[in-house]
Amino acid sequence: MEMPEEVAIVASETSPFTRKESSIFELACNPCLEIFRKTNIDRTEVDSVILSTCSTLQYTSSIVSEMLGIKPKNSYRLDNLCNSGTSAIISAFCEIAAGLCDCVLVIGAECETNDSAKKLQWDLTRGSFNLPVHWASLFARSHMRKFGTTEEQMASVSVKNRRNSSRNPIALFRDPVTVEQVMNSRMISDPLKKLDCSFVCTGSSALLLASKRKAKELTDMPIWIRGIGQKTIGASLSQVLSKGEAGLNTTREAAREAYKMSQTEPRDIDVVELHDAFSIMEIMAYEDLFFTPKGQGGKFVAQQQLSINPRGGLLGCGHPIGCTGIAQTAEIAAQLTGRAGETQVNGCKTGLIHNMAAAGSSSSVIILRS
Amino acid sequence: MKLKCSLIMEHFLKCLKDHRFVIPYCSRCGSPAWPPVEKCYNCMSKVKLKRIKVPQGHLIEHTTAYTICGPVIFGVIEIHGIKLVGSLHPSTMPQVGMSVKMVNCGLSTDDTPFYEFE
Repeated sequence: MEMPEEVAIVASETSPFTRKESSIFELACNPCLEIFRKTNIDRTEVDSVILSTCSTLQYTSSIVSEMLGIKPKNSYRLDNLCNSGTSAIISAFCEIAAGLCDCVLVIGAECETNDSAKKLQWDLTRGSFNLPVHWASLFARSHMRKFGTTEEQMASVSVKNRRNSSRNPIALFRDPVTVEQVMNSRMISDPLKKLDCSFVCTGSSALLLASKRKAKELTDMPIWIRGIGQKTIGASLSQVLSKGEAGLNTTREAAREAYKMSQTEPRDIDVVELHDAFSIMEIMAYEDLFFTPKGQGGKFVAQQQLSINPRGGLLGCGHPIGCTGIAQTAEIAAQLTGRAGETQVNGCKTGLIHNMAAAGSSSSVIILRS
Repeated sequence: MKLKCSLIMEHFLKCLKDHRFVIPYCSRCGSPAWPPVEKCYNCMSKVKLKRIKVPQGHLIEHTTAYTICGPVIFGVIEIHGIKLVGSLHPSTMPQVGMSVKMVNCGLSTDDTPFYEFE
């Protein structure tokens, strides 16, 4: 795929992740107001507003536009479960790359109490085992059986990400944990324990995307979207769990496409935000993003020379479903501009965002460069 | 679970509620149409529900969930061309690839489907 009009992230903001009940509209507005304050952008210049949320409230994006005093050409809500945020960013990219818009505001917002985001009710396949931890534990068992991955290796992912989130002032979990604490936490679905699981919470994040021309007006540090890959193979669990498989096929396909479009290879990536809804998912993503050979993900936890989930990932920060992909991307944009504060990775130039939904039935990969 | 659904889905759920397992099959090409839909994904022909007296399949993967009622063994079962996640009888010694049969199915009080195997 040839790269069309260049698209940059010119500003990003994430509000603190909490367990508070909150209005989805106010949540959505908070990071946007901060972006407006910092960039001094004229609000009439925002051509499009995309709100990523699993909230089913009516006309949410237009309500948020009105509350923000924006009169965009186009405004809509996007729901793709956990994969919503990155899908919204890619939609914004398309609007700019096609020349329809110069400036698009992408917002992610979710409230912890939004139960519609927590399980895919449509999927009859899952029966009464319809929580995400059920499919994640089946993946974990497959990975252990096939590759010898251990519970301690999974626990080490949680330890790493909670160590990172302890340095992140907006993370939900600020206390580091030990391997022993993870191993001794309550078993939810074997082998996954409470501390192997991310926590659905309240949060919001926003990005301002712009065309090359507009980006130059708005910032002296644009972050360029250089690669995009996506794959969807359906929605039900019946599409993803097959005998002998312990991988994320959609992630592999999305990653291949994003590397090709950006003309990069896994070794070129300096910093990564990947979808660690459960510790095993991070181990599988190492493999399916091609950072390590298939089956070596468990060992890669201890070996990694790459900065993965520096803000603490979903395990440390919390997982406000529709907001997650936006917050992941905001973190990588902050890393590449050197503005990531206490979580800053030194000298990073190229970053990768990986997001997925519903047992990996869909995945997105975005590659950014400073 | 409240599904606003097609007639065939309604029929499927009604059978499930009566503890009868039916599989939606294309009347022309024979492909399973899962979840139940009115027309086949492949050839757009009418889908019919077929009663399976003793549904048998094989276990793809299994583990144990820890619920408020205690541990429950569950797994993914490939059965007549579709996959289901269901519980396995506590006496089962689960092994990947083993044959299992459905011994019960239904809708729980909140209308969530359940499938039980041994």
